[in-house]
Amino acid sequence: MAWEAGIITLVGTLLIFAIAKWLIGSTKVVESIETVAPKMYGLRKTYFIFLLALIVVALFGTLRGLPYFAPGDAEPDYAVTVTGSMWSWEVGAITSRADGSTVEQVPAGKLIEFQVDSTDVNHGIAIYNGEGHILTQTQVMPGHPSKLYYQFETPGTYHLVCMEYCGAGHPVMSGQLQVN
Amino acid sequence: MIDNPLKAKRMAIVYAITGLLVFLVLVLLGLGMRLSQAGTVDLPPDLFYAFMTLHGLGMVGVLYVGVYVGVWFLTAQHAKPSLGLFKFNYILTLLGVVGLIVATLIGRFGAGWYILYPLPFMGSWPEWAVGTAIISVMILGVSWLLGQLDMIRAISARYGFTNALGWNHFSAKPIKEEVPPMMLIVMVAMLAGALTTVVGAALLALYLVKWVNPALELDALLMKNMVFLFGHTLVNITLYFGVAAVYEMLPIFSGRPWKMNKIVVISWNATFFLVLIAYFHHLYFDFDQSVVVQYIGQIASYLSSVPATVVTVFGVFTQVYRSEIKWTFVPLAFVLGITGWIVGGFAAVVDSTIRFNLYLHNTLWVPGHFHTYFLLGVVLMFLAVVYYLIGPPEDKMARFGLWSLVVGGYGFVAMFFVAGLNSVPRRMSSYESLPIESVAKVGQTTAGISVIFILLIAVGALAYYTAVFKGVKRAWSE
Repeated sequence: MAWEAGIITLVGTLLIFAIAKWLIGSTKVVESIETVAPKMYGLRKTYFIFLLALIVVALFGTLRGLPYFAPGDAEPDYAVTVTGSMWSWEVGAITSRADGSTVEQVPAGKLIEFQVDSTDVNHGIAIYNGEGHILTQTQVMPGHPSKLYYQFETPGTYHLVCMEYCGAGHPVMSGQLQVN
Repeated sequence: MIDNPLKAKRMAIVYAITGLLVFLVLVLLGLGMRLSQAGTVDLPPDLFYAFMTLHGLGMVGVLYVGVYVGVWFLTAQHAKPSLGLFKFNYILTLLGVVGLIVATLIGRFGAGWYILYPLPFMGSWPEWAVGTAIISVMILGVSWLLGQLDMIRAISARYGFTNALGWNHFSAKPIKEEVPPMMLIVMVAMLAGALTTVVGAALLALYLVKWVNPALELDALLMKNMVFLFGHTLVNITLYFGVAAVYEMLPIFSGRPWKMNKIVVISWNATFFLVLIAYFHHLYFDFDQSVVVQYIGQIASYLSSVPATVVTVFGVFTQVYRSEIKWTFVPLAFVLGITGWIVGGFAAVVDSTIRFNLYLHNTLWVPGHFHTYFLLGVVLMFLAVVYYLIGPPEDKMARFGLWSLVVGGYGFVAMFFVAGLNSVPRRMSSYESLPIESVAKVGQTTAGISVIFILLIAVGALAYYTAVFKGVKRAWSE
């Protein structure tokens, strides 16, 4: 998804540059405001309708599958507490929601509910895969515990990186998660 | 028009020169931060974060004050803002800036420009630095609030409160006097600014009580909402001030009128409401915030693009397209500034999509987009107004500086975007301790390349300064 954002932004930026160049270059020919204004008003009307349609489509397309809910409202298979304190992460027991049993490593292919909290200041937790891509993230705010859902498909080592500036030790605040 | 235009102009020149010098010092702090992230310079973390705090608060402040001075001077051509208050605010601003320098560079206060609760009270810096920082920002806030209220008063006295907001365009009565559209934008921006500066002042008052009485517990989510309602609005009205100057000044060069009409009125009145609710996008990943509010954040952010492009961009098109404009420094900087504002705004709208933000939140993408609309938007508009105020007719050196700044600026922000797409976190004093080698390497490499572009920006700024300062003597006496 990050690269889709990058491509959209790059294409949009190049288009804006092209329009700016066209606009600046247009002054080689001179026309009166009386001839220019009606053309611009017509173009503006078309653009306005196009933009509104684009916004409606984009909102319908993107305001779904948001990270506030478990995917498909499924019940998580396991729950694990992750507590942030200046400047480390403490990962608690990985507990089955079905029978309360615990496992040592996060099982792949199972929906995990991360119950995150902070003991001091604001932190942010991002789960990175080994290739360095962010898989999901949330803020970790003191007094406001929250839940983050993720299902790992591939076993391996994953990294927990603090994303919210939390003082001088912020750059060293990271941890690991083993998925089998 | 103001009673003593020469004195008003001189005070604006004093502000402008101060702003230009402070801006360059803050650029150098940014250079230091990128050198540290590149691994070229070994800044201790506490010093890096003191730099980061001063750079952030300083840039937000200097750009706000810079374009405020621009619209104050332009408003003074129509209405009568208080020159005495304008001078008094200069002293208050200097006091606030000196306090921040002491708190950060000496006290090593480093809670970031957005001072998220409770970090200011739990950092490694001394207590006196916390108090100094809070009081300094309060002084700045009071100064800005007084300035905002005075502008609302002056414009209302000249045109009437509702007329300045353009509401007379929906009345059956004939319009007695045309109100320049700049006045509408300034009114909207000042009203939104005053409203949210009060919220910012309340936050700082609570922080002050907490500083005196550490036992006081505040709610972190409420504090964050207050910080971003104030901060988001301040940044956006800074952009609107720059745009207001474009509305007022581009017609001078194009020879075409830019008049108020119903579409302009609806657009800017809607902007007032949109700016107050779009700030929710800063809290997408605070999951304890109501989900409804998160939806509103994305919808308001998307809708913000409507007035910005449909009205302002098409207004610029109508001004410029096949006009007799000569591409001297001022109109060129304005059009490039509007371009930078739209590019940065577009990247911001992309980032305001919750599903994209999941991967971009708190990565270097974020400073990517806000540096774009600040450095390549507001700064260019500010430089244009200052050049109009001070600059000599010969502008070859200034145009060289402008292009150097624009090329350097886009290269500089491109490094942030590339790093953000590669999941590099922001606000890291160094990337050496990141556990993922590939991410650390991208962070260091892009920071290293960006140093070259910062030097281009500095060259551009120096060329511009050399050009503009040649006109100070003439501008002071005319």
